[in-house]
Amino acid sequence: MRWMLLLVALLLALSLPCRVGAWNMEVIPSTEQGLEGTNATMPDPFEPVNRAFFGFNDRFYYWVLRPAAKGYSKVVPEAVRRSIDNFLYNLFTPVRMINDLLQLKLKKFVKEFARFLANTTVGVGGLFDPAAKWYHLPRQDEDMGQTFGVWGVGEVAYIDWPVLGPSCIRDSAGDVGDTFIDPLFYLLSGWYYFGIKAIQKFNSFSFNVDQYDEIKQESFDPYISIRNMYYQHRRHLIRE
Amino acid sequence: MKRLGVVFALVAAFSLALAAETPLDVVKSHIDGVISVLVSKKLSVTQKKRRIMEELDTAIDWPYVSKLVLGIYYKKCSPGQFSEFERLFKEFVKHVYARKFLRYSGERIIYKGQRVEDGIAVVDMVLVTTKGQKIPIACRLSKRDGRWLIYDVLIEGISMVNNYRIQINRIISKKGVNGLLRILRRKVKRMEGR
Repeated sequence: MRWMLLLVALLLALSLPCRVGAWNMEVIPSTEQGLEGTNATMPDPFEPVNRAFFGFNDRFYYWVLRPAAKGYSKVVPEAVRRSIDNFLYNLFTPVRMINDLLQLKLKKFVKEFARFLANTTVGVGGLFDPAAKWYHLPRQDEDMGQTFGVWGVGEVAYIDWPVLGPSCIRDSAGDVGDTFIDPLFYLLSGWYYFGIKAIQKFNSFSFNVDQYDEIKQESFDPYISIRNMYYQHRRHLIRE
Repeated sequence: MKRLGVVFALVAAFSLALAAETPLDVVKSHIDGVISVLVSKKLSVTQKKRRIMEELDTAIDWPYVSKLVLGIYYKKCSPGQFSEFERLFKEFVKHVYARKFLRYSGERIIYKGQRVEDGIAVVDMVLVTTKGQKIPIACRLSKRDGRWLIYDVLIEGISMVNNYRIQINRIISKKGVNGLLRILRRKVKRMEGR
């Protein structure tokens, strides 16, 4: 009898917090509330310059990039573009493997190597991605910007490069570093290497041609929105 | 004794019913609802859009989201300004998401699990496109009157509330609350025209 009363009281007590929550409706949201880093933003001391570049990139997108990519998508079927993407992604595997090592992510290192072996052989030189399709080894993006982030280096400052788009000091330094650790950079002469990189960027852009236009429609200040997306996305990748 | 037993059974049943609706169940039922609208062959595009917007009405904790995106400026809004903001922001976001959903072409959702902590829940999912790409998506929920309501969506780690909050804070600090409302009115009108 007594233990039953106790149990009822306990159950009621347990269900109380849920109801208390409802009374908190009028509480002004603090900076926490499960939104970690809500008020943290990308440091942006060069904002006026970045905004000018952003304006240039905006025009460049509407006048050059988007029409070019739409034309390219019409001429080259998606399956072929996917294969180009797979091939180039496979080609840059060593860079990701070295970054896995630099971050001491040995499991990712082994997976990356397994992906490389599977896709280079079964995937016909990297044109296809059987590793992701059949062997449960999806792509895992790694670069030196992320490595620096894992080491505790902050973004320092946002840079919206003309043509290249959103980045920051840390990630731009990472891009330079990635070039120097890439065996391919030493096998090919510089211009070929950067040509291949440009093709890779443009080809992967062709899968998401309208994305920027949509972000613009969905935001109140596209510059701030994209800067924040870049910031959040990079932090997400570094946390992984 | 007997009466107590009945009370006990009632309380147990009640708490079980509450416990049964986990955040993951809630998210899944909303997504299933939206997908059943999207794949319907009877509905026109406008009807589909309206139905999706109705689903969003009930799925999301709009007053809470509005407060979160206003952040520190919530205190500076008059009640009239806040209710107008809430109405416009809700309309805007509903249009944005309805439009995203309408592009549905057979993507699959894999539910990865849920974490509940201090009355806040996170449901992790992966969206698998027809081409096999995987996009991580997460929903944040909080409990209101015993029901789980969504208050944030994260796509590839990008929180929608965080993104709008940063933009809104900048606009209010430059142009004030009325400046923000002007921009919102224009944005909503443009979205409705599409």
